[in-house]
Amino acid sequence: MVKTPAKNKKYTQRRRVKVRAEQGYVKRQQQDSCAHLRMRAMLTLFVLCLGFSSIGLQLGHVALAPAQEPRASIRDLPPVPTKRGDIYDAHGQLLATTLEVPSVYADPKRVLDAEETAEKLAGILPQVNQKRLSKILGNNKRRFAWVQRQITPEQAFQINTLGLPGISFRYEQVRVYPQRRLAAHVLGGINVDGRGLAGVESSFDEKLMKGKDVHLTLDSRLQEQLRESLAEAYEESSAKGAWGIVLDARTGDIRAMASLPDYDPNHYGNASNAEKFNPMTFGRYEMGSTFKLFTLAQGLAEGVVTPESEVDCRKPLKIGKYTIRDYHAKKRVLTATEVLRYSSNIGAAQIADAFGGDQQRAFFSQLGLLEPLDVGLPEMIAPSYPANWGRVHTITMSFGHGIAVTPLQLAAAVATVSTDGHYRRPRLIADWSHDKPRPVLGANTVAQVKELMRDVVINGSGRKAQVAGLDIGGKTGTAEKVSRKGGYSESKNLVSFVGAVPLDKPELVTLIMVDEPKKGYETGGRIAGPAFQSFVRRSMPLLAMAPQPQQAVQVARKQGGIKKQGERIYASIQPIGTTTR
Amino acid sequence: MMLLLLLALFVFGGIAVSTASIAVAKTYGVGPYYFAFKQYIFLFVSMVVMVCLTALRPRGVQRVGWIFLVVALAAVALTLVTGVDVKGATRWITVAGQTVQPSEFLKPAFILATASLLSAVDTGARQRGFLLACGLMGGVAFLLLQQPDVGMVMLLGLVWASQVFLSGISILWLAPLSLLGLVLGVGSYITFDHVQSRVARFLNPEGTDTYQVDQAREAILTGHLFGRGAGEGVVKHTLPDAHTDFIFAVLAEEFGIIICLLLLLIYFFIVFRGFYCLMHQDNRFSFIALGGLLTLLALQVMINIAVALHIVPTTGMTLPFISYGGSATLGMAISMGFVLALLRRRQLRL
Repeated sequence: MVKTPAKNKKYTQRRRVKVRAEQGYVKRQQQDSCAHLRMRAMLTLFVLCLGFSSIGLQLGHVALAPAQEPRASIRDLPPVPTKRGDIYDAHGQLLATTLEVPSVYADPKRVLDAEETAEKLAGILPQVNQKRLSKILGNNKRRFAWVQRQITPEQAFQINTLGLPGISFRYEQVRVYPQRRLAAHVLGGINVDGRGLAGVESSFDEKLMKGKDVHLTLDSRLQEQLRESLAEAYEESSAKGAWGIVLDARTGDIRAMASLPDYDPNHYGNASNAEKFNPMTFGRYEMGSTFKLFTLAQGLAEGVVTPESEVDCRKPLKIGKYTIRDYHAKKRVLTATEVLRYSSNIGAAQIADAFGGDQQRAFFSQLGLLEPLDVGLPEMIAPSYPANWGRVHTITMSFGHGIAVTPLQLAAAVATVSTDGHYRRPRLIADWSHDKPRPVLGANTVAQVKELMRDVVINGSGRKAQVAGLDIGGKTGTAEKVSRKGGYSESKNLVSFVGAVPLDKPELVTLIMVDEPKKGYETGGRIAGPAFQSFVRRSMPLLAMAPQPQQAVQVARKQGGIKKQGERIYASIQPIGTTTR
Repeated sequence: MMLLLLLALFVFGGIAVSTASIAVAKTYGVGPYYFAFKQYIFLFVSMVVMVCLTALRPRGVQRVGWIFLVVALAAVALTLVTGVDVKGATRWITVAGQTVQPSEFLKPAFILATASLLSAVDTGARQRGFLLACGLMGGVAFLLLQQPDVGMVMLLGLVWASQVFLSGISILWLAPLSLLGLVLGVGSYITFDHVQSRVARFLNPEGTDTYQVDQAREAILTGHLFGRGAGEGVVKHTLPDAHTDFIFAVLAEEFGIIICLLLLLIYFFIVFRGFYCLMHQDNRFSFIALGGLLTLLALQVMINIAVALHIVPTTGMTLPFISYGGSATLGMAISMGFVLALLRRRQLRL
């Protein structure tokens, strides 16, 4: 392959090339045509090696150093957090959930054709102002601009299909309460940062933030019926407020809890303070006559009265500077049954005085009326009662004045005396276990209390709570509210009805309260009783409560005999002045 | 050994195009694997051609190279007359229903021709050969700039320079040559608008549109070590030329950089092994031709990846055997066929 003769011929012709180099060149060529070029090959290879390794290094650098990567300013927004947990009712009905809603934004710098992009987007998003958008997208210095927050999934899909450069989505979380106002006060609400502000959303904020669900004992169906019934009363009586609690008498579960006025938790920020207020666990009130149930129950339990015992209620009772009167004064001697039927303050006062303040205090404590009640809502308030618990207090508390408790506490206490004598701590959070029922009253006493409650509904102030075919027992309450000036206001009442149904073996204990109903509606029997009736009638089919034969509902009036065993206890009432302080 | 590595590249290419071309197939409204199947055929044909060329002896290589050069030059010249205009450049001609990019075939032919010219043993012939090589370079550059294809000219210029260097030219010549290259580079910058804009974008990424490069970086970033998984990539849907110039970004996103580094290593090993064998060559033509062909492969790989990494400005450089494109694949297969042919002789003699 080496053409030596040709080389020699050419060699003589080239004069301008340096001789020394030529000689060397020839010598090397004769030995090996390429050996002297190996250095050059190695140099070339070395350069290529450098190139390869620098590219490999740069590749690793780009792929593994995300922090150094300058990016569109969407990165400046906080990261999308874990999806907040859901809240369910007892039957798995969704009460609160979080939807991930797409929001579309633009990186104007990357947008290729601002006008075309704006036109296409405006075609899909009717709210978008095309001219304005086109201007924004045309600004190459911007790196971030919202096009439209919270669009529908279809719109997002359509936009995605367009494949426009520089247009991207960010999924934002939106808290949705599909039942809207239904359980507003229980659920509460969240702020713009997605943190709970009230209700279960607040007390279980941490848990929900971790994406865990919360299950309530509420029954959306009962809740709806309760709210409807309350709404009727609320509107009819032009009241300041109306609320109700439905307890499951067998377990203590809160099956419904509603209050008006309420708000739509989807727009928590728009709610007024009055709307946001949860009176059921965060309001404490002097409950009035409903407390007579406890006085009678204790009287029966302590043996100071029987249902037939007679109590002198002929004239108002003077205790110190207070005079105790009856609202529906009968001005005669009443049996214990009649004391409750006609809601006699005088009668209740005498019975309570008979067993005394220490006993009353112990009993109230057993009924959970003296301790704050935590059911898993941040809206919680301690009851208020006198620290010294004197005789006058015992007497006023016997008919529900001088002690203020939350409606939920009242409902739980009534459930105790009207069901089986066991106190069951109300439960709202289904994830919590039940407390052990606490025995408070014996079966006999409970049976007697039930008779009294049945009598109230058939013959007394609770007649308007009757539901044809159902065995109902209850008690009305009409409390005069403490006016701002001190003392009680006669025109501003807080009226209530609390009842158990079916009374024989109660399933539900329901408390209805109406705050400041207008004139003509200002007693518990007049407005709260009908609301109770409305609720029970609506809920019957939901609870599979069949109407019973009429006679079974009738009160079986007890015949004589017991009356003789009764004592006339009015004699035991001492003038209040004799009590040392 | 080298044949195996090359075959591995073919397989790699098949996989890469399968996933990367789905997006572009959607854009063109053809079946998702339309381009993938086409590329499988290209790869197969290329493989056969490459293996066939292996049978040639260096002399044969030289001859085939000259024939190729004539045909390719004619074809490139033809693009100027009847070329298909794609994205502002006429680099393609239609042959039997297929668009062909003759400049891809020009590459191996040009390298072989340059090697032939520079391989003359005696000095006088070498001087003349060098001048002829300069002329060839100039002519080819002139033709390609008519298309215009500045990237290709630069690539060939670099390869040509390396060949000249390997031919044992006096160091004194290198300085004026590199000066000339610089002048030509600046000249092209001034003459061609798109070159200007690309360089400007590269030097000043803020304030201009660097969409492709940003997307590519994004892809490499999200791919991280192990990638999103085959077919899971998203960048290919928004990145134009995902199946050709930016296929490396798609690979990085879907398979992760470990696989990408492996790929880079394969290329490197081919080049390294080639050079290693080349140093034991005593045939000047083989020596210079091999150097040129291997440099071509190395440069194309480096430039393609460097573009994806935003180390150099955007050029239309394909990743050998991986990017979609019949002409490029076949052209590169021919180059490698020549490499194998030239190395085979050497190895048999040992």
